[in-house]
Amino acid sequence: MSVARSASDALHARVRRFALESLERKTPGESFAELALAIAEHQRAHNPVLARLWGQRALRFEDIPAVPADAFRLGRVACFDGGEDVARFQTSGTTGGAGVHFFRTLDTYRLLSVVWGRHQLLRASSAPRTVLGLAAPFEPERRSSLGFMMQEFMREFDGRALTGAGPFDPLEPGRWLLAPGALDLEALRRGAERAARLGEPVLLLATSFALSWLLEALAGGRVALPPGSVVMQTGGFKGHARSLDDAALADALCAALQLHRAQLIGEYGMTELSSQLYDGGFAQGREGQSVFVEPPWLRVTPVDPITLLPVADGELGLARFTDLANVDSSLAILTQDQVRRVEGGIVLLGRRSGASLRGCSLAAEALAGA
Amino acid sequence: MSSSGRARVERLLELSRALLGEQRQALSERWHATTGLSPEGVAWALDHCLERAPSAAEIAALVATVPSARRAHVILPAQVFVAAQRALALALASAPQVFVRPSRRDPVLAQALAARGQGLFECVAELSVQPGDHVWAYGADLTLSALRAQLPAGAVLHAHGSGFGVAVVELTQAARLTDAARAIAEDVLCFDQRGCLSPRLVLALGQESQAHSFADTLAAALVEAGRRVPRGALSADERAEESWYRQCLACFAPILDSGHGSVSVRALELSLAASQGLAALLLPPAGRHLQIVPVERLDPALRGLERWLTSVGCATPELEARARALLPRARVVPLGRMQSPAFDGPVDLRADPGGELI
Repeated sequence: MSVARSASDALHARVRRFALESLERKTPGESFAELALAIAEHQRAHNPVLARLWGQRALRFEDIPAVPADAFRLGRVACFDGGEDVARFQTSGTTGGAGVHFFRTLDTYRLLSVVWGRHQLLRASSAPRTVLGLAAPFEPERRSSLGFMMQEFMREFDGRALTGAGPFDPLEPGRWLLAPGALDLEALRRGAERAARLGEPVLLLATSFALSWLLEALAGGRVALPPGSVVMQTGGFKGHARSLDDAALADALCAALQLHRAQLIGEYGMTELSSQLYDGGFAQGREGQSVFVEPPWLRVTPVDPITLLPVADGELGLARFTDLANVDSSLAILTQDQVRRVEGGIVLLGRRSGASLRGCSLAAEALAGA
Repeated sequence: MSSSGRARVERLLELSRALLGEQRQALSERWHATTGLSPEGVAWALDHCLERAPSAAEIAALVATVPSARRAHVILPAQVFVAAQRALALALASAPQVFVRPSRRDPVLAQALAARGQGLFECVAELSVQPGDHVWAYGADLTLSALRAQLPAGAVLHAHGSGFGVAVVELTQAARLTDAARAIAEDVLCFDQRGCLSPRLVLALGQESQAHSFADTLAAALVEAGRRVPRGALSADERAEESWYRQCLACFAPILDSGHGSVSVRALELSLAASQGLAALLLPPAGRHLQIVPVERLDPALRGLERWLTSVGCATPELEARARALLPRARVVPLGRMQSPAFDGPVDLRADPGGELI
């Protein structure tokens, strides 16, 4: 085993220990900053991108350079060679091609997403759920980080066959409710009936787009989910700000699935990260905001879009993520998502405006009267 | 119609000359305020980019490029303050009745010309487009798509979307490279690189090692150009774009400071743009930033960018001939002339001259 690989393995183990100790409210054996610096040093030594960004400057936690999310589609951001890839998670690539986040192990990703998902979606309960994915199945090519996480939630939070007494099969018919051009409404009904029969809730994992599609398919009808059920809603709202349209969608969903807004939990994740944030239910924060909570091993710092330095508390800034679980890529990720720090977490406020290419552009105002 | 169109264009040019002759100082101060360009940048654009006395042949060619219409509308760009003149000329060549919606950010030239023009055209706050009218609009592709959706059926849209220029040099011709760098710097400093003709990339035929040497030469030329014509103020959005660009670029390439902007060398697969879009390339933003892309062959590089190329500045006549053969709808000119295209039609030749029937 190479020195880099064994150093990476040791860091992964430290991150997993830090995460579990933090969630169990034990005092971790090392601080966030200490662990961050150790990971950053590893990345400077083994990731050419970080070596270039950081150079030979002294290592200080506050100076850890952030890699812009766009860099993941411009080149390889990894501490290891392509021969060690076990997964290549891809961004949607709607503009400018797909970005790729390379992984040489998914153990940390798997553990941390499961423990934080259980903490935030299930309120730390270990009671079984019927877990369904209103999404396409996770593909064997391992391209979708969201699909991977959903599959692990199915395995860990349910872990049984949907029908019969056989072992858990992640691709069992009825588990994933989307196929190209088709939404399996009957499978959702069967899943809800199974959960009701077993006296347990449903955890429905979905994108916003798929939830809109579900409402269309229901055409005003209902599928009542058992008490305590939760819908995890991710993506789809551009820039992640929950808008009036989202409120209308949320209310329609609550009516269709017999839920309260608090049971519609927003998830924020991105391919370039290995960790996720969750809100406490739709518009459940102060002043009706959806406040997203970071796990103890992830920090979000709003930074000024020009200086890239932290803004004052409560001010709007670009989200700079420091994700300890990104051991083998880049610890700090800079995005163009605008966030504001509030009590208990962050509020997501959409992408920074401003086009990347504006030759001879019209001001947006110019269209108003056309 | 074309003879009266020609008369209207000539009238516009007369007005423009008179206006600048009498009010250049006062107008320049306003442009300094509305565009953010330095006073030297405004003066440079007026001296080098505003057509003062195009030839009769150029005017005839311009008039011949436009279809005749009863009414024409113009939505003026905000990025290039002198662009109003050519945009107006095209509409006037096309129709006897012209309505112009100036940019709110920079309405100076259109309003000043309208005030002197005694009915030659009319500045309006809102356009009222009717079926059969022609609309000339310049802007980002998404913005033009939105406009397309708003126009009534039967209108004809002349949409000039996002675009940029490239410079082409041969790294083996070392004796010419200093002159080439100076010329590129002059093309870049116009409008602080906001225009759709502004070069963003330098395609350098030759080896990467030679490209790094040329980067030093180019950075020095930009520094020198910046002393003569300092960069003006960038908007907050532009500064944020610049920061993002620098941070992305720093992940993969050294960045040479060129006074106001930057120069870097990147080995890029330009054909990616054709399949994945421009964002796959990390194109430099406005503000005098350039990337030198070493290429072995010109053809695939230019073809990869063809959709977006409005202008190709070439270091030699031989390169011009090759570029012209490859890109018949781009303006192919010598380096240093990218921002002063002939007054023979729209600066951006990519769109169908007949327009697009809505």
